[in-house]
Formats: sequence, structure tokens, C-alpha cells
Amino acid sequence: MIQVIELTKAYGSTRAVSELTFDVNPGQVTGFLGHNGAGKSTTMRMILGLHKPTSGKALINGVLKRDLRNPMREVGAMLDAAEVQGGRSAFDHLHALAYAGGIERRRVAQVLEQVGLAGAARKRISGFSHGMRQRLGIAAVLLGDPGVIILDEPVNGLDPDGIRWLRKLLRSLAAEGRTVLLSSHLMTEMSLTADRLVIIERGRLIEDTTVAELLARFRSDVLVRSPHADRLTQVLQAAGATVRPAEGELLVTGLSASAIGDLAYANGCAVHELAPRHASLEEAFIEITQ
Amino acid sequence: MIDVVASEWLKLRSLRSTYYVMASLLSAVVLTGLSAFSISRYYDLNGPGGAPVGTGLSTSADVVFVLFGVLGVLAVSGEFQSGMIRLSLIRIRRPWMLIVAKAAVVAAVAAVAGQVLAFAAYFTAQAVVGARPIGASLSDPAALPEVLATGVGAAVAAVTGLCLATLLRSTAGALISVVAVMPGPAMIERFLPAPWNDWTGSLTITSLTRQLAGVPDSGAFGAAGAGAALLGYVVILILLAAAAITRRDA
Repeated sequence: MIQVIELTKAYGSTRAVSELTFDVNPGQVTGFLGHNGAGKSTTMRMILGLHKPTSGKALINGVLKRDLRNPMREVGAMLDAAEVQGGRSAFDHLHALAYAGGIERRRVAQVLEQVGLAGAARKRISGFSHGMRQRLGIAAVLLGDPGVIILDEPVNGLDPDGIRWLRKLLRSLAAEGRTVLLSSHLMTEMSLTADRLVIIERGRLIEDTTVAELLARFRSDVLVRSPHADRLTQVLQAAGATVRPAEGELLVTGLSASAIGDLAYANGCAVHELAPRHASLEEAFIEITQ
Repeated sequence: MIDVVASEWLKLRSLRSTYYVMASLLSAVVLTGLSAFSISRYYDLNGPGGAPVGTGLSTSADVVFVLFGVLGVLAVSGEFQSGMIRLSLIRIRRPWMLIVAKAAVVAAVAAVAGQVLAFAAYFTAQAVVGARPIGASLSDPAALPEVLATGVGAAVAAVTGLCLATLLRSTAGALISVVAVMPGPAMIERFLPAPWNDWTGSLTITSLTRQLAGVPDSGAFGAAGAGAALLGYVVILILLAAAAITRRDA
């Protein structure tokens, strides 16, 4: 697991990350959300011991990154898939990384197979597409078979097939009991992959919640179309609902669709359409980060 | 730590630039051959009295050490440039291990390559000189030590390049500094009063290598002093580079 405790990073007088506290638990995918520049990458780099916090700390499996006995077997990270030297072959690149963690050569071929790059193993990375580099980055993460996985914007540059593949992979890694933290600025993508959401804005934590809870909280209403709109409005308002008329329809909040249907029936109002609506996570994200 | 060294060894030999530098080192052999040829011609036309060829190493030593410095620079600067340094750092326990491992690898490679190169240059020079009495035999005093010391100088030069690149984190900056710093003392020597000029001029890796071998009139420090100075360069630079990579955010 990952524990971020009162983590702060200041550059001069600006605070990139400010007293951030959250846990990332094993067995689930945790989405780390924020607009570009919100402090996601800085936080991830501090967790990985690459950046020194101004104050506070981040622990991986209960200790600082620097105190992990065999870092490569405990934590795997992809910060930016473009950060590789293009002159090497994919195999050599992974082999060099594997060596550093005392990981056998056989594992390199395994992970290349796993990410679908077995055919390109001997090709220079400089000729790789963005999506292939992304897969190579994932391969490097998997090398040490780590229990904690940290990915910074892993979806960028992947084609729809790649996105689906990555989503499945991350879900299965989490299902195996691993801790998976991935950042994104795309809320919709997160809602399909993540179980929990940690949302930050300007370096501060603004939400630490589940996808389901967030969806339930934000602007869910019921769209009602009725030829007896005026009478139905009075009935619903009397029952405590808020009703907004919109182009021959009513947008009702404060009552469930079934309660609205029952009230309409009891009061002799015909209903032509009755549809619960959820705000998209994207809308929720924009709303809470404003 | 052995694992990290193995990793760095694979990184160095899977880098194309390593082979480019090795190939350009052959130019030193050519340079030595050409200057041996020119000195031999002078001898044929004017008879004895000119400078001898000797081992032939001094004619290309500056180029050789600068090129080994470049080898050291390229062993790390590409990682800073591409950002791969982060990928490397999260896989090891302490940042300084990366520098020490890289230093060990480039020093070993440079020592071996420098040694091979020195023998190649020596035999090329002697082949060009032929029977003329201006060459050097390996049994001459300081001749074999001079050839052997080239490997030491190459290792020091490579570590110097590596550490400068780590401190500067820029390929261009490090290359410029290698070209400027390594022969630097010899350039400012002439602006200084005695005995400072001699001391300063004796501080280049080229000069220290020759002093280490006991080549006559090669500098102010003598073999032991030169050895200490070369070791001092390596230790100080590695300490600075290790401190830099530990303290800075990657």
C-alpha cells in the first residue's frame, strides 16, 4: 500500500503540493485525478523518492522508498513512457533495467510477450510509436512483479484497443491484491478503470472517495415528460421535490423515479417519459474542481 | 551493487555512441602514424638533432583523453536528456550507486580500450620510424610505463567526463566542459608566473599520466605526486557527482 502523509512540496513561494494526505489500498485501482499542473506528477515523484518533500512523507509498504530492500520487486512505476533512450532495442532496454534489480533474463521475454511487444523485441525504441512506448513502459513496470504499481497518465497515446487492454490488465493486477495508483486528467476513463478516486487541485486534496459515491452525489435528477405538467409539478413540489421545467419536460430532484411514478399515478397524471439521469463524472469533476 | 554494475555495463554496450567514440579513437593511431612519418621525414632530410618520436604517444595523448572524456559524458548525459535517469533511479536503493556503478564501468572500459589503443599507437609509430634511431624500445626506461599509464589516464578521463555530465546534466554543457577543462591548465599555464605555470601545466591528465610513468621532463610532481593527483581527481569528482545526484530532485 501507499500512504501519503501531510506531503508538501514548495518551489520558492509556490506550493506544488500542499499538505496532501491519502492512502492507496491494495486490491483496488485508485485513480489520481487533477487538471494538468495540479501536482499529480510531483506527488508521484515524491512517493518514488525522486523528489524530496519540503515536509511530510510518503510511504510504500510502510517505509520510505529509500528503505525498500529490493525496490524493483516492491514498486514498479511508469512516469513518462517517452523517457527512454531510443538507441537501444526494447529487449536491451528491459534487460538493463532487469539486471539492476537482479531479475533474470527470462522475465524480459515474458513481459514483452505480456504487453504484446514480443515481435518488436529486437527493434530500436526510436522507431516505436507512442502506443508501443507506452506498452514498453508497462513492461518495465511488470519486470519485478511488484506489489505496488504507479502509473502517470498511462492512457495517453494508446489507441482504443490499447486502452481496453490496459484497463483489463490494471483491473486484474488489482484483483491479485496489488496496489495500483494511476493518474489521469480524464475523469471518464477513470470511471471505467478505478474503484477509488483521489482528486487534487492546486496541490490540495479535494476528494477522496469511490467512483460510485461520487456519481451518486452529483446532480442526479429525473427527467419527466407529462401532458399534465402543471398539475404534476404541484404534486411533486408538495411532496418535497424540486422541479425545474425545461422545454416541455420537468427535471426533478429530491425524489426517485419510482416515487415520482407512484405520485403521478395516485394523482391521475399521465406520464410519457420517466428517466433517471446521472451527471457524468466529467461534469462532477468540473463542478468540484471549480 | 554488482547487479547495478551489470546493468550499467549492458547500458554502455547497447549504446551506439559508445561505438562511435571507440571508432573515433582510431584517429589517434592515425595521428600518431602521421606525426611519426613527418618526424621521420625531417630526420631523413636534416639528420639527427630534431625531436625524436619516442613512443609516439605524446603526439596524440590530448585527443585520446578528450575522447575518453566524451565516452564518460555520453554514458550518463543521454539518461538525463531523455529522463531515463528516473527509470534507473527508482530501481536502485541509493542514487549514488548509479554513479559509482557507471564510474566503475566506464573506467574499466576506458582502461582496457586505452591500453589497446596505446599499444596500437606505439607499434604504429615504431613501424613508421623503422630502423631510424628516433623511436623507443619497450625496454627503454619509461617507455613501457608510458604505454601502460595511458590506460590509467583513459580511465581517469572517462570518470571525469561522467562526473562533469552528472554535475551539469546536459550533454552539450558536459561536452564543452570536457573539451575546455581537460586541456585547460595547459592553456592558462603561459599566463602565470613561475613556478605556478609549471604546476598548473602539470595538472592536465595528459601531463599527470606521463609523470606517473616517470617520463623525463614531463611535469612538476613526480610519479607519486602525479598518481595522488589522478586518484584525487577521481575521488573528488565521484564524491561531487554522488552528492549532486543525491541532493537534487530527479
